[in-house]
Amino acid sequence: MFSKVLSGAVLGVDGTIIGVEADVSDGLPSFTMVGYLSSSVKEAGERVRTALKNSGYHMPPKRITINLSPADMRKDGSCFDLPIAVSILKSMGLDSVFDMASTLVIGELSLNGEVKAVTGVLPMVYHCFSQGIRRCIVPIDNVGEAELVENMEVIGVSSLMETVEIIQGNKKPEKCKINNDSIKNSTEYHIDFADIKGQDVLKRGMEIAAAGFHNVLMTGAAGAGKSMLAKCLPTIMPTLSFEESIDVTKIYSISGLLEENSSLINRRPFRAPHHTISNYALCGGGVNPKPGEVSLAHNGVLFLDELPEFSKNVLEVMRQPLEDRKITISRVNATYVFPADFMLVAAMNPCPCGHFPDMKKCNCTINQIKRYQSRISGPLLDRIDINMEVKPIKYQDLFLEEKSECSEEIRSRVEKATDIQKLRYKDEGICFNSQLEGTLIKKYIKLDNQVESILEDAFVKMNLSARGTHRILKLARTIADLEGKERIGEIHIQEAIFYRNNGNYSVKEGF
Amino acid sequence: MEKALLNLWFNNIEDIGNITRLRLLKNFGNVENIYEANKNVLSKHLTDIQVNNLLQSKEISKSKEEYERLKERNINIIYWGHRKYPSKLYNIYDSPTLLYVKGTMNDSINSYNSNIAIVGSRKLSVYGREITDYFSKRLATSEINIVSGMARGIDSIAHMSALKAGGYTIAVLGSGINVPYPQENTELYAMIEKKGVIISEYGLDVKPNPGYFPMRNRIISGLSDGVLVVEAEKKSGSLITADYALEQGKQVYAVPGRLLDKNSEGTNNLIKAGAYLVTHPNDILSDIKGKKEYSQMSFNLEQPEITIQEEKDMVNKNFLAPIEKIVYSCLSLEPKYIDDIIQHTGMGVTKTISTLFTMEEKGLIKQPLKGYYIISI
Repeated sequence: MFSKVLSGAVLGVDGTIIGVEADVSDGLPSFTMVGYLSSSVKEAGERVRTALKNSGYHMPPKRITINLSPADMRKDGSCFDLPIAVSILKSMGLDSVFDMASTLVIGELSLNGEVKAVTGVLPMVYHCFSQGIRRCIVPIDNVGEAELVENMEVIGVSSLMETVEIIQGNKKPEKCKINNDSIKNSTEYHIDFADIKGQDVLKRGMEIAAAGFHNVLMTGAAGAGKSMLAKCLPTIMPTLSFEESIDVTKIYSISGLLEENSSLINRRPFRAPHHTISNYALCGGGVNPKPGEVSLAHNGVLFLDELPEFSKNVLEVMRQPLEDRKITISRVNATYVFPADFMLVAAMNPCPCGHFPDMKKCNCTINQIKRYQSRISGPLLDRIDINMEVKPIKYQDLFLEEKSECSEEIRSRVEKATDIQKLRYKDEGICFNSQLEGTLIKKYIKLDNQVESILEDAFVKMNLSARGTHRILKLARTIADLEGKERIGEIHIQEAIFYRNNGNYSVKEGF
Repeated sequence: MEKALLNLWFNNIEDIGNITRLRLLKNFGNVENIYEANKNVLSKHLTDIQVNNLLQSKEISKSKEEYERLKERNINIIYWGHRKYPSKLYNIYDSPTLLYVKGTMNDSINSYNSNIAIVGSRKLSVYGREITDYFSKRLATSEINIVSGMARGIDSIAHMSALKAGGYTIAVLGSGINVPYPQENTELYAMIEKKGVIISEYGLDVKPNPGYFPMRNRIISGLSDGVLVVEAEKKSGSLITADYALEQGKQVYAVPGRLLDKNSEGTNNLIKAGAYLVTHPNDILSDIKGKKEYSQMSFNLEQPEITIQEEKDMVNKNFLAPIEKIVYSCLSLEPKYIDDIIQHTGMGVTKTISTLFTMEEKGLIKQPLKGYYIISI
């Protein structure tokens, strides 16, 4: 007898529907699986057989054929165990109270019949919903993310036996709603801007960066507070909108990085990969490409500490995602596009010993310093809007009693600025000034003659590129938005130019 | 045979050094006589090996080739006894017997204008940079020729500032005449070639060698009437130049620095040993004016000497808006970090950045390093 159950797979960041067909017929006893399967799916056969036995079902000595369709797409992963088991049982005559042709079944089986969590549930459920499917059976640990899709009936199961009982209608599925309190709690942080002493300019730079999603580079001696500031950055960033949260959660779902019991990710991601990272880990890759750090940092911060220590080609592959806000990975089978709209925050020492320009401490030769700094290529620097020198703070400032502004206050200003931007760009499909491109820049950024002439001078003096000039404009727009001004004034453009680096970082001299 | 060619041959004989060449020239009068001298006469002055080397190289083919290549590259040869040979170099011990010259050899370095060498540390500070620029510009506008070694640091600034002020500058290399060293000075090399002159004792393609630099220092001081040391560490090559200057009877000027600055240790020691302490370019000008050969020089010392501090006060008083005054008064030649300026002014980040920006546009202050500010002098 033939039967069919629906399951899903992930392509890039999107889900797709996979049909799982089983047929039990007379003939020599055999168990065959077809449909362009990777070895992890082929192994499913053994798991399913054992799990069925251990759950008390007897596999008949018949000819069993399993087909995963469409047959031209390579299947990978362990989420097909449960649908295969269910479809075998169905073809053996299992009654169901549901219409199994419109029910999504996902899950991995262990040998004793337990159902284990799998990755990529959210994108699959999301996709099936858009295809008109309104019911899904998922591992109990994945219920949280599946429930993010509104109006979807989510049935969480913990074992094969339970699944069968629910399908037969012998047992009511347990309703498990996500705990809304846990969502709220997760936006609390243990660090705060108020804990950082001094560094006024740096804090201001961070505020502007957060308000317009601009890239930042901090150069300064070891221990000056670069990493700490970067880690505080999420505390002042605007909260994620629901759509943005879904996008982020999808990526984390595919990567298997969702924490247990948490469903929606509503904190902006903060990714800080170590500098030994490879190309593929940063940008995504593999035979069936998985998202890399740039995608995991989507809608959030990618913090690269010790920037010159990253291998050169790793840094250079970031150029394209920095411009396009997505990354395209091409393989023989297919081309995948992962979102990569991240804010780059980088920190570096000015020289190998880390003390330049303090010549009393720095022992590096000029050549050493130049060589160290030239590890960051000009084109990459060109994509950085806010470039700041950080000076280590003095001892007396370290124990100052007076508290500086807390993150909450700064965030309220940032959110005001982002609200202005969202309203302004509501028809353009973007949210932040930094995302303006081409004609949009001309449309939304207009300068008075006086302001224009300041920019023109800077263009000549600082030897700016066209991209550099555009980036200054966008930055000035954000600075004006922070003040709630419609018109970009002189002080806004001046401040924007101040943060701009002069092409390549130029070594002059220490003191 | 051309005299220049003979000199080129004479200067490239193996195992015969500059001192020996000079002795031969003084004994024989000129290079033709040496070329024509026979073995017996020569062996009175030279060792057997040297005589052999001299006689064996006599067919000169190699020098001819070299001579053609020099011509192609617009490099001239000035030899001991040449009419353009810098007269000041005759007076030093170990005068170079041959100089390769690129650019325009201005007559002024020989006669009516004074030459001052400005030398100092390769690893320069903001202070050193600004002071060098200040002295070099002002001396160059008073028609003083600036001599230096085109090394990294103070030397390069001295040349560059002299050129910017429209002055004439002389670079003495410690590498081959067509080898700019350090490499980043290739641009400076081209600029000096156009508006000044490049001199070297070493021929085409000779790589820089640590031993050559102290040697060229004797030419730097030899060409000059005085040597100004701006910044020097305790053991600095510039102190070798100062030593040569003293040996050659030239004045040594030194810019004082703070006691704890590594970069001023050498100059402070020079002052302790009796060097002329200078705080203003006029100090040097009036010292030169005291020498009778330069008493006719046209620069004007009548105008009152204004110190750097007085100048700063004047700017503060006359050219600044009230807000700018607050900023200006906390700046000096010591780079100040922007956070410290903000703390000092209490005006907040945005306003301070804007004020600094406008003042930098006006040329009142400089940003030697991103985020750090000094006054410009």
